[in-house]
Amino acid sequence: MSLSAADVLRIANLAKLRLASGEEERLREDTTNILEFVDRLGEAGAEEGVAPTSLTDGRDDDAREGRRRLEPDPLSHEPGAMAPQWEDGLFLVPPPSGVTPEGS
Amino acid sequence: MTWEAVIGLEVHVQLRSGRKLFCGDRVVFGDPPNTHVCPVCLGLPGALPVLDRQAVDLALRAALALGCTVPRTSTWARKNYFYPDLPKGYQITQFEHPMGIGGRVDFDSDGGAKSLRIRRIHVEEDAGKSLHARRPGRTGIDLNRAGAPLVEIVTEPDLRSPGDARAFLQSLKRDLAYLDVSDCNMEQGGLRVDANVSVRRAGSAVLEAKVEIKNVNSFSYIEKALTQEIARQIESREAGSAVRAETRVWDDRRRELRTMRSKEESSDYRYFPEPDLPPLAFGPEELAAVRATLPELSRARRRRFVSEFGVSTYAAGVLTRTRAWADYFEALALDVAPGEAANWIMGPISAIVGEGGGSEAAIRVPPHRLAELIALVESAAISRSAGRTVLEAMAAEGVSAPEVVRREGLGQVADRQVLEGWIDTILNEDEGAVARYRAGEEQVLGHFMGRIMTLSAGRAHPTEVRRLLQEKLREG
Amino acid sequence: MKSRGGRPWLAARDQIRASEAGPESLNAFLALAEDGDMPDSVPDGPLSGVPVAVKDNLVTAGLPTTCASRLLEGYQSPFEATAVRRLRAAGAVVIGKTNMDEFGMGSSNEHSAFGPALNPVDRNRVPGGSSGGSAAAVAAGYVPIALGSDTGGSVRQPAAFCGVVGVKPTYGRVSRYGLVAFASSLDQVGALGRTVYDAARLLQAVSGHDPRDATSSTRPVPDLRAAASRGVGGLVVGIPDEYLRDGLDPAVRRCVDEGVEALHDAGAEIRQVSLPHTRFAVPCYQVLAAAEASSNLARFDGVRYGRRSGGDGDLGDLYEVTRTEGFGREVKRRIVLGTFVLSAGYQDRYYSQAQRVRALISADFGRAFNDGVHALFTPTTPTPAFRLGERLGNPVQMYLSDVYTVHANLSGIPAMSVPIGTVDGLPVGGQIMAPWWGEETLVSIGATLEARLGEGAG
Repeated sequence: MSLSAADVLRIANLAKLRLASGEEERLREDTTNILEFVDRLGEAGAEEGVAPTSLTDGRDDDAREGRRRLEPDPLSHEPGAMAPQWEDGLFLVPPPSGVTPEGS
Repeated sequence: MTWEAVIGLEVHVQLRSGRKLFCGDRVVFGDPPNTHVCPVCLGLPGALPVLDRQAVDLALRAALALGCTVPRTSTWARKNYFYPDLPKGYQITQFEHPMGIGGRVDFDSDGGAKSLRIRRIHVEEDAGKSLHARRPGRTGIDLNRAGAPLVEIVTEPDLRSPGDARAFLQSLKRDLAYLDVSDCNMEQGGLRVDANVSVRRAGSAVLEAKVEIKNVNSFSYIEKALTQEIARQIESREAGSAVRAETRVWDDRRRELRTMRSKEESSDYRYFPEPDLPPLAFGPEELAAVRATLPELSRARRRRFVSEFGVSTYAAGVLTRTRAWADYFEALALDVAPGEAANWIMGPISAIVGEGGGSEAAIRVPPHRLAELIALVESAAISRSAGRTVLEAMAAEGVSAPEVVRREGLGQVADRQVLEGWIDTILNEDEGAVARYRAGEEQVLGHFMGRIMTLSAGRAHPTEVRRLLQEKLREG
Repeated sequence: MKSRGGRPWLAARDQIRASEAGPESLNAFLALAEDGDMPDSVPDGPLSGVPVAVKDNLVTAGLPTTCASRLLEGYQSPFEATAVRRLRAAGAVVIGKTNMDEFGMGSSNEHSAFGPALNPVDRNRVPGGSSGGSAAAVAAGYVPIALGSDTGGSVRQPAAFCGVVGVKPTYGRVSRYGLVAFASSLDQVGALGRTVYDAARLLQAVSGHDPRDATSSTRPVPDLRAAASRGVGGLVVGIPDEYLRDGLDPAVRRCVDEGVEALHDAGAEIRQVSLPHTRFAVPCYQVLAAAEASSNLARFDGVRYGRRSGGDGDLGDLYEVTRTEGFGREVKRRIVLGTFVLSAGYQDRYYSQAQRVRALISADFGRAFNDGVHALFTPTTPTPAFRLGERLGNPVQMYLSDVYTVHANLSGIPAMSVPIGTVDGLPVGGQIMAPWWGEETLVSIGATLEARLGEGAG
């Protein structure tokens, strides 16, 4: 299928990408090409009676396996050490839209 | 024209495992920010979720207790959206295949016995907290709560009044505590409720546009918010205008609902199966084993207390508020008449330990010791008011009633009337001995003394008893 | 604990540093260990004192982890990947972090934000991707072994292009804890080595259950080193016809034929098999990998770590500018595709359909292996290493570099690439695929091919 510019904008917004106009058009073309290539999946005969695969294929683990009680993996430096903005133990970001700077 | 409200609820409950759902971090309320975090709940590159065993155990108890069918496998999904307190950019939840479906809950409201269908119950992780007021122009992010274990319980829209909604929530909260599934601490966000509500003409089956109510943090505010919203919708409909589907949030300060700023982008959460977690599988043995450990829940117990013990409906309600209370009552009622047991618990005991205490009192004054105390009072060995004093000492020090009585001299009963009662009892039991005494066998007096002391559990004032006893025997 | 003649790994590091600073630089490393990053002595173990290179998407204590992305430039992980911890426990010394396609997305290494690694056989050609730096480092003799990761062929394809051995184990054999996720249901840590034995001992050292990865298996790890000398007598090797059709370079085909003959001569029974859904694997892979990637890369938001841009505006600016400037073009392309195939109205047509096709592809393998075939033998890639820039302009063409490798990831089975010859001096890889948990078979067949076709063979 062919993607429209509006599709690309909608997707970019969901994915939190801001595309320059040239980049947007290039991505639209690339993605359209890939989707056309990918459309052949429709010919695979998978419409009926084929259950989506499970990642447990080939595994024979006990039903309760995978439920555990772990201790946290310790951090070798404080959580804010790699943070762009960190103060008094908090990660700082600009307020989300709809929130006035002073709270309320 | 009469209108009917159609109400459904979505209840988020924090599981009391004390650990995060997908890592080992503690869930502690009120600690300094970002002190209970690890690679997993910080969403660091390379970290992977591992499902906590105890959270599943608790969620399974909830699902079964709510009468849900638990499928052999349920699956995890990612709900994708960006928010600063959602570290991975997705929430791990259950979507297509939740762990519990199609349950039913019976509860009592002011309007009588009600029944509500449960659509589903699923497990998910909580987000962190955004603190908007701490820094000028900045939002602070605390991830201590990120990854805390929740169950979401979604009801069918079977509720018809705000009062019923409140009654259901109270019953649910009580039962989740009975089940040891959740503390349901609303102040700490351990129980959060969203509601959806619409109104229709009574008897109509038409589905109307639903309004979602969010951000209400107490049961009485939920009742209030629903009442307001239903009135608003009825007013609007009677004025001939339609009700718009929207989300309204509760404003705590103004105690009213307001329309949420709808700058929200279209929410397309792109749910898909979580590839980092195998499906959650339950064998029939596990379900049976958990089912066998489910306690009798509050409503059933309340009803049984009325039918089996003959206590009042009111008393049964009070006694079943917590499981510890109810257990205490039942243990006490083994030795003490139920009415008396109920009075003692609802009176002196609750005065000492406070509302909903129970567990503390149970440690300090176990039921068999309270029974001992009650027996002393019943036998008039000590007065009722002395009984309260003794109980306070028992609760404070963890000692038995006779110990307190002996130590405090409370048992030195010198009251002539009480003593005469005991003496009469003993003398009437053994007229042969009385005759022998009168025939000159004076050592029988010692025998009577011993019997009376036993009867009074050692509390009869010995000198006084001897005097009264001699008096009585002479009179005869 | 012991120290072998001081710290020989320092000399190994120095030699790499000198080569990489010279005119023949391969740009294989994004970071080299400083003296302080390397131990004074190492524990006794199967890899005692062996210098090892680690792909830059495995988080390491000490050395930064960037995934070859601007967004993570300088990022220091506060914890270490299980595979790397196991390497150290086995006595290996981590000598540096290798170049790669950004977040593992690419087949040529040209999508590294820090410039491509080059193929040591011919520096005008790509080393393959995404583990191109690891393959180049092994092929250049910098290290005997290196860790990579394989989501759709990212270990095997560069191994083939550079003329080394690369193995992707069964899904769940090696912990993914600490592997920065590209596509979680497909990703697996893999091993590269100069020889089958080297790759096998590296794989063995990092394999085994890890409670921190819920998809990691509790199965015991077989003795892979022993399997190297077991031979192929009595094994049935299937040749899937679908892997030998259009698009396969005839010269590569001749190498494969020689491989088949070598296996036959060594005592294996050769059988034709059919895997009818083969041609759907690349589109299926593209959809699923992109979908998972779009979600996995959402955590790179400039809030807790990584390079933040646009932080002076509102939150939307922070997100969008950070991600737009931080991610390279290919990553954005995959995020857009992945977001689209999961979005409302398109999910069933693309994502769910791909999931169903994935089941068909897995079933193809299941049938072949149930029919008594112990392993499959195919080319690893349709052509030898291509020239730098040759496929950059055409994503679909680039994706077809993985046309023989994505199947093993889609179905979870283990697969290995071993050198089976050259075309015009460029290495050609042969791929062996085995049933779930069949790594021993890979090693036995791989070692046989190596002995009969490798450089030292008669």
